[in-house]
Amino acid sequence: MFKPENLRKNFMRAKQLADQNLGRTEKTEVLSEDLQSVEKRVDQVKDVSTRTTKKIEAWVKTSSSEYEKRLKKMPETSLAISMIESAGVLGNETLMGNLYQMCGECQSNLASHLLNHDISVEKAVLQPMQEILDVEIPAINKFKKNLTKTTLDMDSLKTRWHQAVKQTQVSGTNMQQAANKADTMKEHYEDSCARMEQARDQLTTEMYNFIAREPEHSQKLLSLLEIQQAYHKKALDELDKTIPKMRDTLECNPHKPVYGLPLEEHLRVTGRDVALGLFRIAGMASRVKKLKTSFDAGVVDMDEYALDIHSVAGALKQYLRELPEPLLTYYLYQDFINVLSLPQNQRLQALWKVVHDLPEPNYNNFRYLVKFLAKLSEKSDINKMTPSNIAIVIGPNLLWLEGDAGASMASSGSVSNLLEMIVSNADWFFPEDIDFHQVNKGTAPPRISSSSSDNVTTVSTAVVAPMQASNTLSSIARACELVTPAVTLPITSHSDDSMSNVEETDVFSDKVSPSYQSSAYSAGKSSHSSDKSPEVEFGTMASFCSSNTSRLSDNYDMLDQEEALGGAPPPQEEDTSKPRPNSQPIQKSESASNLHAPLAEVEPTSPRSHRKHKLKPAPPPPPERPYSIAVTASYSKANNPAQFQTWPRQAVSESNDEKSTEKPGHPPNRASTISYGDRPVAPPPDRPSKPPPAAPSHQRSASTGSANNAGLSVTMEQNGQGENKTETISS
Amino acid sequence: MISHKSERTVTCTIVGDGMVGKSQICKTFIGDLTIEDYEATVTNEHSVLTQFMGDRYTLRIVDSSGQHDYKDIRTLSYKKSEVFILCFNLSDRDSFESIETFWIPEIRKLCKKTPVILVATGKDIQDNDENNNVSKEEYLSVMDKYGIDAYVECSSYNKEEVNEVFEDVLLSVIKSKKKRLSNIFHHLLAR
Repeated sequence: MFKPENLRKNFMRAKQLADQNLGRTEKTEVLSEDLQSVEKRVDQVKDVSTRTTKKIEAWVKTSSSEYEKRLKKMPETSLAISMIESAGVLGNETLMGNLYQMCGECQSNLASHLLNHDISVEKAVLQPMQEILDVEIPAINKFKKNLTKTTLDMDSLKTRWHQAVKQTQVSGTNMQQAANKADTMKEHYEDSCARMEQARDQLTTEMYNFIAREPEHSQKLLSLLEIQQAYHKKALDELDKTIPKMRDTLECNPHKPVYGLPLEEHLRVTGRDVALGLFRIAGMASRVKKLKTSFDAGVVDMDEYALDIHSVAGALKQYLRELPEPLLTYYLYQDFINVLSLPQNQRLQALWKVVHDLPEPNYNNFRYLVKFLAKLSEKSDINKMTPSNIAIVIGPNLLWLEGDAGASMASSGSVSNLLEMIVSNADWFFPEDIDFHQVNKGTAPPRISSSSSDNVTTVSTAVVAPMQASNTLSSIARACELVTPAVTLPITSHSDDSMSNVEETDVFSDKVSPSYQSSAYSAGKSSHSSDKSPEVEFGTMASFCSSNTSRLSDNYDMLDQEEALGGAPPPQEEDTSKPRPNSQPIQKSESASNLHAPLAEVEPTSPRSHRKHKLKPAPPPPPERPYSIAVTASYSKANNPAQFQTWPRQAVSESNDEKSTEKPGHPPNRASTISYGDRPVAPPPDRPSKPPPAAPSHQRSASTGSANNAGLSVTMEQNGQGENKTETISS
Repeated sequence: MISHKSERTVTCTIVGDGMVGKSQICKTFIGDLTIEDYEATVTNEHSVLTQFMGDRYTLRIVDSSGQHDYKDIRTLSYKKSEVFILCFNLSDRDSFESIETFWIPEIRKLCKKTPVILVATGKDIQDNDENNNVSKEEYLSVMDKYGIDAYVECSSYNKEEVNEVFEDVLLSVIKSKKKRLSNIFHHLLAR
């Protein structure tokens, strides 16, 4: 390569370059202005591409290794793996483990999406960019070099040509030779000019090509963003899928803290009508924290606390206290307090109304609570928790003024009073039966908004039947385990002694036949299915009684009247002033078919009760209703018709109750004012269209026994006897 | 007998968990020895004339509710109180534990220096469950820990033992008065 010619050429180029740089000679600008700008542009593109490529490379962390290996290297993958491992440690059935698992899966999916994204970025963006740098730019550079070379050649030839031309003018030289030389120089120069132009053209084409492909290059950026978009979309989808799942898991987790949670929320979460954490208590005391936190954590070993009832009770109180809104709600606060400003004899009715205004969940729980407290107070001789004590203890936890941090002076006393009223008359306020161990959703008895006494009668009737029939029914027995074995205590509506003229005592014989038990119970059960709200614990006895319907049909008219009569009793004032008509209709129907009477009473009422569930509570009984019939059923061991018990007090304690005017339906002059002779057969003309709620003791509970059963003796008191009996009791 | 010109009134509040026998102590001290069923107290006040070390005192006893929820009502009387009778039942560990967890914090929050007398009731009762009974060491350690001035073990139905409680009450009041006086004296001298 070291030919003298080449050497010389190179030397000339170098010289030219040096001359040009030193400003001794002019440099021919071979490129037009346009071309120069294009050239600059090419340089810029080159710079930008280089920089971008480098950055992208750093960003997507390109590596040549295969997919699996790259996946493993992703930080997301390692996070996912560690999370899934943690889930395994925590256990998949726990909330935290579950969430860890989900999160881990999500992370690993994200990792694979990210890797896919990286790979496609590499393919679609990085490689073309690299290509620009690797192929196109060098090509341009090559042409450029070529051009520079030719330009230099051209320039140097030009200089030499000029020198040659100059020499021809210098005298004393070989003109001819000089002229020849100049000619050849010129030829060379023109040659090189042509070459330069050729090179320039090549370069121009190449550059124009490059510039023309700019949109194509910009396309890369677009595709980069598109790839990114796709990736982020996928990731978002993944997150969208996972996040609601996790949230659901978290929210529907039954182990959510129980304390301080809105009641509805807790009920929703635990899927129950009655909050389980609320109950199972007796007594009161303080060591609660552990239990409280364990409720919050959702791990409660009830057996552990079986003996530690105080903690359980304390936990209950705390729970009630920490409800964001008191169980009896803020907005009814004033209503409750107002009740106390009413005269004594109106309080219960007013209270009844307010209580039934409670929202459904609160109502259910309050009913549960009151029922439980009533159960507790039954055993007050042992546990010392009389209704008033209970009221004092629990009262301030049920109702407080908004913004009131603790039990304020004004409210707590009155709330206790109210609660005492409610607890001591629990069965009047909530005639429905409650199974304390059946708290799952749907098992709560529907709230009875109908206030008609015949509805109430039906309820209590149906309830009484199974309870009395088999006191070993496990659910009931268990319900009483803490408090009382008093299942056998007749859970009957008690007569409104203040006004009732007759008490009809149905006494079950000692030997309740098994068939009766089952039939009575199944009747209650069958109502489950027939009723619109299947959870109705109490049932209608319709199915049970239907077999007897035909026989009784001729008594229907009578029965209707009788129901009307059995509705709400007159208030006490009237009681003494008006002569009470006798309960002739009942007597009549009963005399028509003596043994079927109890059934007859029940049968027609049941359809009504369905209807009335949906009604709003009716106002308290109007004073015009002069009649009341109370039927008290009791399961007595000795087949003694005279022995019956009145809820909630036993016969012995009745005389005490009579002293308190606040206690519904135990007036001192109970039986003495009764006169039977002039009781009309037809219902009174001013009977309201909608029966009012029964006063506490106005409910009738007909014994539901099938009279046909052997071993079951139903004794209906007739006029004189009935009177005698009531007198015996009240004395 | 020297008669004193004026009788001093001492107010004390009796606190402690429900059902430990606070009301019964008051009743016994007043002289009502009938045994009645438990009746939860919301708040109650007794005024008793008594003699101690030759002085005549009117003891105002505020019988408070043991239900923790009645905080507002109970704490009303705290400020006026010159001494607290803090009760727990020897056979009820819960009531003992809530002394530390509930009662002392509640009292000390409002009355930093008021003397407190620890009264262990139910001396005559032993729970069948050994774990439920509170031993003497345990409550002595609590006493040291919280600077409780005195302790008495009693049965709520025993008049002498209950009287001892209230003697301690008066004693601690006198002591704290003296202490306060001497504190003031020292304070003045130091100037």
